[in-house]
Amino acid sequence: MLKLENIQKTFPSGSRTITVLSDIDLLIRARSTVAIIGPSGSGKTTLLGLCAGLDRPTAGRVLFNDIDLGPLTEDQLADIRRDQTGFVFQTFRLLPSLTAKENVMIPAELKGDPQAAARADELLDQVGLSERRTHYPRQLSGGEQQRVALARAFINQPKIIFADEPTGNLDDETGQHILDLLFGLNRDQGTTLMVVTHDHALTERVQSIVTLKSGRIVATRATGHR
Amino acid sequence: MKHAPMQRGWLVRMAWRDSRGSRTHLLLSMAALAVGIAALVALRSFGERLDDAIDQQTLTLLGADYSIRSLHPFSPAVEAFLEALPGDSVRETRFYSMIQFPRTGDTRLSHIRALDGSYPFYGEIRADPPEAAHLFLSDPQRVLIEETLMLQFGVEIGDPVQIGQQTFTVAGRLLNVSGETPATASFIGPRVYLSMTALPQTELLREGSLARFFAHFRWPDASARSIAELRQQHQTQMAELRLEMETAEERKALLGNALDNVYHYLNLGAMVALLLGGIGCAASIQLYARKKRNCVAVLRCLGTPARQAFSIYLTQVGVAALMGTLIGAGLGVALQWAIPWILADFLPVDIDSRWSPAAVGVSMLMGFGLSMAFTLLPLLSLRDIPPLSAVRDDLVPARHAARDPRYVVVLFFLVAALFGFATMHTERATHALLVTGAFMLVFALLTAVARALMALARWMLRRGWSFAWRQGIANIHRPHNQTNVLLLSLGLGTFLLCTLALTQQNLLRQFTAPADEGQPNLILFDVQPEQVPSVTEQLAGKNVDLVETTPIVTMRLTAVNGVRVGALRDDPNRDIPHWVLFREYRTTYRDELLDRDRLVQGRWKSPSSLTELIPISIEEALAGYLSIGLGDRLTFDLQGVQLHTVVRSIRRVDWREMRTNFFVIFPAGVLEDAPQYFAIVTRTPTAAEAARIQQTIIATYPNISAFDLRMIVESIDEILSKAAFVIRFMAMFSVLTGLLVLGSTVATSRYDRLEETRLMRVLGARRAQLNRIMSAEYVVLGLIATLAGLSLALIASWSMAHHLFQMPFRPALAPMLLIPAAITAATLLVGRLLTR
Repeated sequence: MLKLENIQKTFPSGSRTITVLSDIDLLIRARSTVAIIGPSGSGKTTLLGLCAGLDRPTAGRVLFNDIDLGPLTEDQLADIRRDQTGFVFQTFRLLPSLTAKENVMIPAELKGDPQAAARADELLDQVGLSERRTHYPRQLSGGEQQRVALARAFINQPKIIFADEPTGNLDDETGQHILDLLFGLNRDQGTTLMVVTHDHALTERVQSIVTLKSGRIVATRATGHR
Repeated sequence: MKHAPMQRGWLVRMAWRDSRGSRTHLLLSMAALAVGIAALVALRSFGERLDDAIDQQTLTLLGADYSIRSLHPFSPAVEAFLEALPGDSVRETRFYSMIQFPRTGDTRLSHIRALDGSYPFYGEIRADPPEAAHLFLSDPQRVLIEETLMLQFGVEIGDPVQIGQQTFTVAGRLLNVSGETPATASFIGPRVYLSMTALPQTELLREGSLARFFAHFRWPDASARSIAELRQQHQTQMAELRLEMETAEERKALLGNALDNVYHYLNLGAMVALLLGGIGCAASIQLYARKKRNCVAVLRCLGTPARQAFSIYLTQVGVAALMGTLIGAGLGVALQWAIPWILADFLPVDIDSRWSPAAVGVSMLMGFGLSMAFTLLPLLSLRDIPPLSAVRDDLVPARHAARDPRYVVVLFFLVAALFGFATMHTERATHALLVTGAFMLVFALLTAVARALMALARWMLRRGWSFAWRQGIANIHRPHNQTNVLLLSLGLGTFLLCTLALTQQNLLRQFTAPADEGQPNLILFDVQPEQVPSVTEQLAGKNVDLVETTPIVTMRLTAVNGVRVGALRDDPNRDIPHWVLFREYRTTYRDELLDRDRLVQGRWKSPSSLTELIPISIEEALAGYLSIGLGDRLTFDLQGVQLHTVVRSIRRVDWREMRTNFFVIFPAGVLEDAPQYFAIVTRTPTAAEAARIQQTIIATYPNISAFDLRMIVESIDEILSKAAFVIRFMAMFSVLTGLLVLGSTVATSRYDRLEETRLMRVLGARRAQLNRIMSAEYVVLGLIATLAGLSLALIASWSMAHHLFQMPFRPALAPMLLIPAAITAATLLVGRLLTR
């Protein structure tokens, strides 16, 4: 599904160059669930960005379904993100001027799906927000906003979901509910899940955990979950 | 891999959905633009109607198909020539003379117009009562007097009025004459109409009197071509008879040029308002784009191509600009009704109340195009937002806009649009280039000041300052600051207003200065030689300084270095103005030059014998027009006697001085016996004293005219005040636009500030402290912006005074203090109101 080969990522910082990731080799199989963990500044989010085609590595290759993302244009990467991936952010990232339903519909509408509205209704129903579809983000709680974000991530039936600290801004109970939904939808749709997290409750539910430290993978272990 | 095509329907839907909550912002962003477009629409529409009116009312501009004029009473030869010309004709004599109202004893220099028939042929004399417009023709004992004159002295219809030796009765009030502009028609003296048959009884016209004699012709079957042919046919004969011809078409062309200048000036005001509006738009959209960064990042993350994400916001801004354009056009159409009223005193034609759809359309197109050019620059930044910033903004490296070719292209497009816009308004590429260059220079200087201020604010911050001052000054250089925007909008507004005010004050000072500085202020003209001793004696008995008594002898130029003036006129290699060759030269003679006669070449010389050429002194500009210098010979005709002269000195004359100034000065010993009259230059201490002297002198010698400088200054002041009102009217657009720019900038940026304010409140800041922080920031920004604008205005006003008006520049203190203070106060007020 997703293969990283000898990835290196550096950033210029004034006259210096900072190496954020180096010697990263990683294979994520279809339908698997993977958590990326590590201390702050270890390069987790940078790695997620590279895997999702949001950024390009300084060296090495990212293969998505055997397609090398490196030579693709920005528009081709956008097409992959639209058709094959879903995103869940720590801070929800809903468009404030759009209703819950309109937010969910965006990826499907971008794809030109005539069933976008029906699919959005269905997903909002699945996450328990069918009554709040006309509400704006500011009228929803943090947990509700994240549920809308989950519905948006799954609307195009993506092959892989990238989640960046999906419970980071939520209390334990709400976080647990969100994880239930995330893993439930993931299971129902047969999606691959790659999640960056500090949340132990989350790491206990994934199949494998990749640990980063100072930009390198220091451990990869299977949790035994199925 | 399949690309989804750009879905226009979704794009529009998305733009609509995303604009929720921002629509007021977007419209507010366009408010300043709407004001600029309103000004443009109103003026262009007015301009087209003015052109139409001048085309349709060409004949009323002259009141005749053509007119012949002379500086001398028509001789039998001239009368015979005029009789042979085609069409019906009316004779008119015009001159300035004092009139007196016996009931009150008041006197006033007036413009006397004597007619022997109904004129104008086209258009009308408007009077109150209407029949009074022609009553003076049928009843030679009656006159028609300008309304302002009657109001000034409380004169009523039926009152007596003394003109020369004859007493008339006031038949009615003169309101206006077709083709004449109320503001300037009565500049030196108000108009007084009387019958030609009554003119001899006044005994005002004598040999050498300053009068002009007209024959106006109505030739209904004539075309512009046939009149041109008529001129061609009689050109030589008219030159010999010293006659000049003017046609309605020529008057139209002359007027067209003058009105074009006014129109272009007003358009410049509209252009400034529109540019300010454009800057306001750009500033506001920059803040809007900053607010939308996150949305774009998320959309990109969800698979929206950069171009599509950018198009969403381009659509929003485009629709808002269109709305602003439509609102502006509506306002402009409403406003255009007011412009003829505002310019009424300067318009010689009646403007109807139609509006021009073509002018409105073109203005809307220009306004919309320019606003899009301005907003494209900040909007482009949305194309550069990478999807990664939705995850971690700090991971995205900063981009340098200046190195991006797209920005360079848009900047080029913006400058080209500005140049195109200026070309349409000034209609000359060089002027357009100058205007574009000037605007770019002002922008560049104000931007440099903004950057310097930010650097200074960073450098000068001191720990010892109060918390409010430290925060306020720091806001000047912190991210999301408004320094650039406010410096540009306020600085430009101050620059324009101060330039207008300083130039107006400087112009006015030129006329008022003599009255204030012990210079002459009352000049008596047309004093006959035998009247000089008596008048001088009368003046000596009063509290009057007799400055100088100057003889004036009129003559004509007949040849330059032996070449006849007719031949000079026809010489295609020479371009000597007609008036230089054919004017009536009023010369004087002196023993020695006066102190104020500034010699630039040669030296003053008296004739050593009567047989040699007469040495004369000529004025510098005249020498330039005739391309002559020392040693060149001029021949003058004095009542049939040829005077052969040689240029021995060249003088520089300051024509603004309220004295008798001359193009040609003869030495004493040549002209003493020639027909002449005198000008007596005096200084009276008060206006009341000047009025008393005029009454006494005029009662004894009605032929003498008195030019009261105070009254002329009042007339100039009145005209300048009317012009200033027009200027202020246009400047109002700039101020209004500037305030709207300020309002929209502050309103849009307050979201950035609200977060900071909330944080400050959480950290324990009191409202008063927050107010002080905001005040410190806006006071400093307002002061620096207005000082920068004032500095540029001083340079511009100095430059205009020296190069355009050729006068010394003495800046008036009041506008320099009041305008920056008022704009700074307005900035503070708007800032306080919008950040409460």
